[in-house]
Amino acid sequence: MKAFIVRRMILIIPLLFLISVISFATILLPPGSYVETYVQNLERTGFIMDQGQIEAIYRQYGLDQPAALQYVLWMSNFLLKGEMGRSFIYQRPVKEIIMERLPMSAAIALVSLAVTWLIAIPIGIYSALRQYSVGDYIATVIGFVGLALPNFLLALAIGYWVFASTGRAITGLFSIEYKGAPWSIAKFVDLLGNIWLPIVVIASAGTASLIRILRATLLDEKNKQYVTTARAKGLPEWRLIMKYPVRVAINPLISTIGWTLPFIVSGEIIVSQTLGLETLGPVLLAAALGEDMFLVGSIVMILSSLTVVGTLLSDILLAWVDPRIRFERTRV
Amino acid sequence: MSKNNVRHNTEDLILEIKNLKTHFMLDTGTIHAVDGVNLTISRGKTLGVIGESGCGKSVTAHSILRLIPSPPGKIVDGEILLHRDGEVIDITKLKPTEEMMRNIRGNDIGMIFQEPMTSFGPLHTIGDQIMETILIHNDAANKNEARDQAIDLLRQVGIPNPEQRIDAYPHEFSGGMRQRAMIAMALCCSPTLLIADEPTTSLDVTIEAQILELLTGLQAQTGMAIMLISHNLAVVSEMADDIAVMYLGKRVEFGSTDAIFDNPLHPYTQGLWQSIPSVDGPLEKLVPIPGIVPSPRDLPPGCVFASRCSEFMPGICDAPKPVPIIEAEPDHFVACYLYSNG
Ligand SMILES: Nc1ncnc2c1ncn2[C@@H]1O[C@H](COP(=O)(O)OP(=O)(O)OP(=O)(O)O)[C@@H](O)[C@H]1O
Ligand code: SF4
Ligand SMILES: [Mg+2]
Repeated sequence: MKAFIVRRMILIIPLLFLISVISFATILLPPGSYVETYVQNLERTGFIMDQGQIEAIYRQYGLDQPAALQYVLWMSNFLLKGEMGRSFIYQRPVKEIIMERLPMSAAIALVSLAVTWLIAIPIGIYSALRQYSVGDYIATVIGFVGLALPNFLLALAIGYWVFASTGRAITGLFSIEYKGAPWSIAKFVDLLGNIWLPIVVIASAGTASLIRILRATLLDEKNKQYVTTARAKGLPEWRLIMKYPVRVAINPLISTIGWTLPFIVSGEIIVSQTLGLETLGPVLLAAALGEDMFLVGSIVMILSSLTVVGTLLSDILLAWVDPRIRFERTRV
Repeated sequence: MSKNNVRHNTEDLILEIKNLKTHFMLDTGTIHAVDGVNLTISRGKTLGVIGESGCGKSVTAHSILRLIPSPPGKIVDGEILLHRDGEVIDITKLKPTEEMMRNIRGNDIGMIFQEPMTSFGPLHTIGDQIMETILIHNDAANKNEARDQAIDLLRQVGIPNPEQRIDAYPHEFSGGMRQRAMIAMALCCSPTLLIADEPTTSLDVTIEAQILELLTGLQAQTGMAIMLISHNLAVVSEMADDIAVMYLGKRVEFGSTDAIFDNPLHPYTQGLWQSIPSVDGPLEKLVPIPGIVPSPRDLPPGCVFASRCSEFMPGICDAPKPVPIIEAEPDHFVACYLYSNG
């Protein structure tokens, strides 16, 4: 098992390298460097720079160097100092912006994932055990509605409904009075009053597919010989269902974490934009529109890397809970 | 149906199946998987159940432990009487999930299955699954005792190094090993009856011999009765005291192994026997009798074997009523008009 974890950690390094290269490529991607955009914007406000000033900016950001060298510079700054360059729009270090907003983004993503599971697992189990019951059909319909509705629409609809019935407007993560305030219990309670909406909306998208997967696997597993064996031993029905087929059916869900994470992250971006949440999502959008490429590249790199790491963790978790996979994968 | 005599003394009976009918109600029609089966099993004896694939052997066995999936399956008629400590329990009257039924499962009646590769849950160790059975049926036992007992059982069924192997997962065992472990699990609460549903069908011949030898040895030690379901005539003739021959959901012949082998009465049984070269020669597996088995969906009226029987008597055998069961000689029953003197 240890060897397996170490091997997977080593395998992940080239992947992270690739992500960093692609992220950096997005920085260099837009036609006309962002310094030109920057200079143009300044010119529009009436401030004209001379050639010397412009070159000074180029040198300051290392932009006069060849691309490979720029990459090395960017990466070594990131690895050694955690610096990721400077945002032209916000006129602040990228690192600061990310550190400010990443925790909330990650929290929303993780809680959404947890909520997805908390909703999907009981419903999936129920649907499989009571196949073709009314409850099974209702779960299926609601699941598909959640899957089919675009996230932003659902967010707007629920937001409007809450506003219409309670007068509370859910925009942003905090009410105005708590926005800049230091953390307190009252502020946390205020956060809870708002944050459920994005979480429900993001979770709704992933729940349906998770229910389908769990239901299908469990329908298959519950008729297997080992379940009959357990029944023939005299185990109570509920206990044997939970211990044997449900355990087996939940394992494939663990391997879905890998591909649901990107959905959750992108869902979070759209929902945050719709609801005006102070997370990385709106920043990424604004930065992309403003060709603030250091910011874009850095956010892309951080989100992609976290997703890859999340996938790795889910892989390790799967091997840990499933002896068959542990056996298969830990053999060299 | 049985009169009292030495072999089938009611005190020795542990299981009586009377006119059992288990049907599957499908959208496309009703499958009469078991359709009026009578069996008796006595303490310490082995009952062999033979018959071609699909004749209802497994459904009979699963009915005894109420393991028939419902819907679509249902016991529509008959009794399954379990004799336990002087009382008689009709299993067909119990709810499959009720406590009495769960007490019978694994405790009074153990069962081993045809498919050793899939009969253990894949995510728990062999030991965990055996200990679990011990713990649910014995409130007094604690984990350590259950573990010691499980190790003992694994040793008894011939698993080397049971102290270590108890913590192995099913996929780390070979098919033969798994079937041994399965036997250990079925025996862990000293059942009075062990149902073995084709326990060796998916194993190779040498392993098959070892497993059967193991079962015989354990039976001698514990005095349990065995209901041995098999395709294999050689296996049944070696192990069984009595034999029930099944065809299309019916028990067409029933008697002692000697009677069934020396004096087969039913044309179907005779057909089965014809493949055997000589009494002393090696016994072969069943060879198919000419003709195809009709679907249990639409049974012919009268005798179910009529479509393949060389002795078919028009007007008698296809009369639309059940074929009478005749006691042709003491304790030797046959369902065939050839033996009704009328
Ligand atoms: N769950 C079920 N649903 C519908 N039909 C079933 C079900 N289980 C068994 N049957 C039917 O009942 C009949 C008897 O099946 P059974 O499994 O008892 O045969 P068997 O004698 O054990 O055969 P084999 O030697 O192949 O194991 C078959 O026609 C089968 O199709
Ligand atoms: S009852 Fe008739 S058809 Fe059936 S086995 Fe006997 S002789 Fe053959
Ligand atoms: Mg069978």
